Amino acid sequence: MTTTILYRVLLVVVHLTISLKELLAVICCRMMKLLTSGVGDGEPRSVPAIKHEASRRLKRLPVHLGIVVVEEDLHVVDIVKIVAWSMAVGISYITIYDYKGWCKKNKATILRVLEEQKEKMETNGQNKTKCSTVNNSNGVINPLTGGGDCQRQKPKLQIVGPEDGRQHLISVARHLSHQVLNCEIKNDDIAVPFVDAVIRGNDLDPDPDLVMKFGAVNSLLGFLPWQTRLTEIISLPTHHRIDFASFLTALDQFGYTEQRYGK
Amino acid sequence: MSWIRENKRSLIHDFCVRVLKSGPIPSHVAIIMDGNRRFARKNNFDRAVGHLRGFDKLAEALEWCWDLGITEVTIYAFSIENFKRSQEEVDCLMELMRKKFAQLMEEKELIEKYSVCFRVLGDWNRLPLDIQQMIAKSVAMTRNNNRAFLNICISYTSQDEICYAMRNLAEGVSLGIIDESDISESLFEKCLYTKKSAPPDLLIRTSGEVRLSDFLLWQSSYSVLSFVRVLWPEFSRWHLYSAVIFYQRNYNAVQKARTSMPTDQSQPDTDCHPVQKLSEQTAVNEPGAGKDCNRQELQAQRQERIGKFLLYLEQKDDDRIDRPLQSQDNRDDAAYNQQ
Repeated sequence: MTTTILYRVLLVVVHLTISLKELLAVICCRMMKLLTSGVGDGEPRSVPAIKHEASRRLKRLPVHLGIVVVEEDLHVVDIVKIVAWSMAVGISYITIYDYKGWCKKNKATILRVLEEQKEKMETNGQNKTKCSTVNNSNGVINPLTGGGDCQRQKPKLQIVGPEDGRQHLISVARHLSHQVLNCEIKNDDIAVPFVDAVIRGNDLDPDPDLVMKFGAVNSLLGFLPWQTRLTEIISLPTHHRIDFASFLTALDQFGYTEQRYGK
Repeated sequence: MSWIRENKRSLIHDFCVRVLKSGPIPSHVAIIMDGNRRFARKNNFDRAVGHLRGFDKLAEALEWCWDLGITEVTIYAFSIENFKRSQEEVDCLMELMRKKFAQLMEEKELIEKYSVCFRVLGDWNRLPLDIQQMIAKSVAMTRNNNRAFLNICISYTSQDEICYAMRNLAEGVSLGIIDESDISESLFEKCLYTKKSAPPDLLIRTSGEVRLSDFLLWQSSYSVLSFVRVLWPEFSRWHLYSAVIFYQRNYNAVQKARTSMPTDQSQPDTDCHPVQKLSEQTAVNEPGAGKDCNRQELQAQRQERIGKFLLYLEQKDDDRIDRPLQSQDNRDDAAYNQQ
């Protein structure tokens, strides 16, 4: 019994030591940022300034970014900042996910704050553009953004919840069973390319090639299992008061990944 | 190197294991053993040597896992995508499989001693027939063992597995064993290759890559993901200990997230098909009964259908194992008769 307690105490000491080390690392990092980049690093920047910094630093961009928030406490303003930066650097598809489905339920709030964020960024760059958002029945938004030309980039934003992951696969399984029962398809037709097309429906969006996971939990907590087969997963400690430098560092890390596709 | 190692732990490792085991230990660990070829390049070896070292490391890692009380390990040995590699490398990997499964058959006593159950998950039909037969023999030989479990994913991708589960369900519906509305997340999981396993608590990928590469996409949705910057043949006990500590640091948060998840919404109690059927039947038999439905009766009927379906699947699995063995017996008989 005494030895059991001793082992438990030692394990707690190990975990406390690791926590202390992580805390010191966070403090050092923040101090370095304050000393090197000064105040205002997390403030909205202009779209041209963001593009310039991204093109200077980044090797390549993801086509589709998944913003997966595994924290309990969601800050809409910070999530929206990440979306706005993603659009500004030129990422074509962005998906937001949180494991409780809060973002999907509060889509209108997120869109409203996103418009405000984009206006701030445009005001900073003195590039006033007319931008519009188009909602479709799937909750997918097609905002227009960029420079003086709204047609130049059309990043697509979607907000998903847990029901779009496993539960959607179950709906697909039921639908395919129904089709087989009614002889609309054969059982052998249920193979990867066919199922992939059914899952996507009318969307021709590519799978996320990068997920930025925000939060201390090292799990995707149900984010689109089918679509994440080749997704690079980069973890950031939190989305709270996220600064542009951290966002850019994560994108930079993505630039060095190399897909071999099994070869 | 043998599949099962019986090395005595050093005092320091014994001590570390005892300390770690005073906290939560994952019951099921999945491993993407990445980095064999890079290891070979780094050390100027042939790729074949890299893969051999990778297998040796697997045997070591299994011993370390079992020391820690991790009773189930699932490994990603060969993806369907790996068939795209050069014919030379694919042949080399197939040859390694032949040797290792043959070795497994020779170590029957040791495997029985530790009651290790070997399962091979994947689309066996894509493999050479002799390897299918060896796999079938190994799986049949160890199927009743129950102290430790090793799931080897060969000719596997997760999307292929998900389609396999969907085909099973569609077959069940078209044969009238289950109803379309019986399909739920829990039933779906019982149609996957991993039907006999709980989801992995921890998934480790070596070599520094930070993706799942089509491995256990469904099953690892709520697993702790540990991406380790070490090539698989260089993976050490200390890396495993670190991964377990990493798991422990995430344990409470993942448990909390899991309990706060919305429950399986894919199968509401008031599915229209069984309710309608029972209502219609009640109206025919007892015209005055109206549309009153007995929910408990519906659920009991559902459970009965699912029970029959699971027995059907079990029989299919047994056939899947027996078919390659029968094929070998037929070939042996034909060869004997020719003599």
